[in-house]
Amino acid sequence: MSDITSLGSPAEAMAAAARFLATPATDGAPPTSNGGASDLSIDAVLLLRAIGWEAVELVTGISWQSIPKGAWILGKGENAAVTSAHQAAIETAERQLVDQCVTAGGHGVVGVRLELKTEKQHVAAEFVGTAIRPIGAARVEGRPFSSDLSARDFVVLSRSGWRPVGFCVGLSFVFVPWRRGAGRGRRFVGNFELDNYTKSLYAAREQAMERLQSTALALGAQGVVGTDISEGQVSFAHHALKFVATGTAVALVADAHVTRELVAVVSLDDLERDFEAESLRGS
Amino acid sequence: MADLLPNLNGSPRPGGSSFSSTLSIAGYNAMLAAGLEPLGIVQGVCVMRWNWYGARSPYGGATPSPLSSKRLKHRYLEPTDGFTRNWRRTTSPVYSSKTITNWSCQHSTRRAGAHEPGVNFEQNWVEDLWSEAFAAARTRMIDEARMLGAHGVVGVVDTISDPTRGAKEFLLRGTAVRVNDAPAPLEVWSTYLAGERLVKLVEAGWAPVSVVAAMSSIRIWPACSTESQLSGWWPEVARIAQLESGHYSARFLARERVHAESGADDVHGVRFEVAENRITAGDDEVNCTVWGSRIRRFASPELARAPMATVPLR
Repeated sequence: MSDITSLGSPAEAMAAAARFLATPATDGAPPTSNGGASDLSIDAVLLLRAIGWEAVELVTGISWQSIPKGAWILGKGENAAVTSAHQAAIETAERQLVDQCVTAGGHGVVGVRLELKTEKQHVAAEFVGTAIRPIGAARVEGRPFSSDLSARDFVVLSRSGWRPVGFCVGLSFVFVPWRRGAGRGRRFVGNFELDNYTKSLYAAREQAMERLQSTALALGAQGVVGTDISEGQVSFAHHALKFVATGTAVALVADAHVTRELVAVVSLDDLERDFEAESLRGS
Repeated sequence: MADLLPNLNGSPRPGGSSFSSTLSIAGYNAMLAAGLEPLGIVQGVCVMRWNWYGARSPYGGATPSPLSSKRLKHRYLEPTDGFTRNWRRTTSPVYSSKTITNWSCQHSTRRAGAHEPGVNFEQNWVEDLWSEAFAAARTRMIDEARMLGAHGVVGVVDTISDPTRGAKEFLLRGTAVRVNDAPAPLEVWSTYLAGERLVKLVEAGWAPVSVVAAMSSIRIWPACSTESQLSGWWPEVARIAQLESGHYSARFLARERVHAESGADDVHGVRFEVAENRITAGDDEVNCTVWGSRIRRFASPELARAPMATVPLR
């Protein structure tokens, strides 16, 4: 590698790269370690470098958990077996992800994507993300963080005096009870609110959000950002509802939040990419 | 292989001195600003026979039925500890695998004749075929670029498709470019990046080296206890360790192969795809493919412009 500290114009930089690629390597010794790998864009890599971080490895985690027969048979309140199977799958997969980050020498994982596949008798959770660290830093003391924030969000967060402390999940699967109560003033004809569904969804939400925020507090965070919520009926069990909330727990590390000044720009990206020829046709 | 390529000899086709490229206008401008001259669209294609693992399959092209799978299972010696053990000493096809893990029954009670061990094994004959096809397509694309007098290929797009039954087409296509007033590289380089993104990469001190890709294929024949866990007959919520191991191995192997090809170079913009294929009940296949641009650091420049936070007005 050359000692160049400024590559000049793009053409000069490209010429320097071309000269480098035309020069035989002087050191014939085999590499002692792998290079880095990441699924980040070049913009994200440069943004990370701007705050002194680098990508070190693409990391994954996966877990499968069984769900016993009978777990979906209508019951009351929360479906404990299904909820615990999902929690166990997510915790195990996230642990694998962070373990791989530790092995690679990362201080944290950004851009984490969680894919949760719920089947009747089993559940699979998969995590993929990129381990990052301050450029050239030694292994981290303690456990690295994981975060579903993009590298760009991580940069903005860091510059604002905050840091991610962990990926948080709160989830709950609940049973929707039968509507009963004929003869006690409850309606069964016409259109009306299905209060059994409404109440069940509220119950699932309360339990899931409580778990999400408890996890964040246990990590020493002040809050959770970028929360994604997935809720609704389970496709193969119409009497069951799920509520899954995921997000990144964040903590303020600066003395106070740093407000960034925003610059307004007119983008010169080609907007016509979004143009549909079909739209010219009259209705 | 070279005899499969059209004879270009630096003059692509009757278009005379015109060039062709897949670059956008913005990308074309960025490339010109960086002293890159587009020469022509180049491609590499390799169509493989892809039946049930083709002629290279130790199965001889036949799909194993559940019955034959069970018979094969019985060729294994059930390990006593239930965990990893390598076997390479019988004539069973799976013993040609590089990686095999055996899984014994984990039931707490045993009923005679109802318990079978399982096995996860690497289908290296599938992986080898895939690697051969990708490498052939990549080499053909690079050979075309070399014949045009190019230094590199930018904006590579690859597709893997099934053009007809029992065949798989590997296609790589990109724009061959030459760096103005620069010596020819030792090897023609290639990258999935193009235009402004490639320029940013080089400005940041990385040189493109090659597009890289690797694939891993793991077959899972579940043990009786794994089948119980998958079908709900396990009495409690439990970790399905055999499946976890198979899926984890597929991802790990693909990633490590990309690293093995890239050595100390970085791999940028990785795409990571996993395909699960249920062949028959109790016979699963996990294929993991990893693509990326191999890049090499040639300088550590200071960033010319610090990124700033903006709000687009559109």
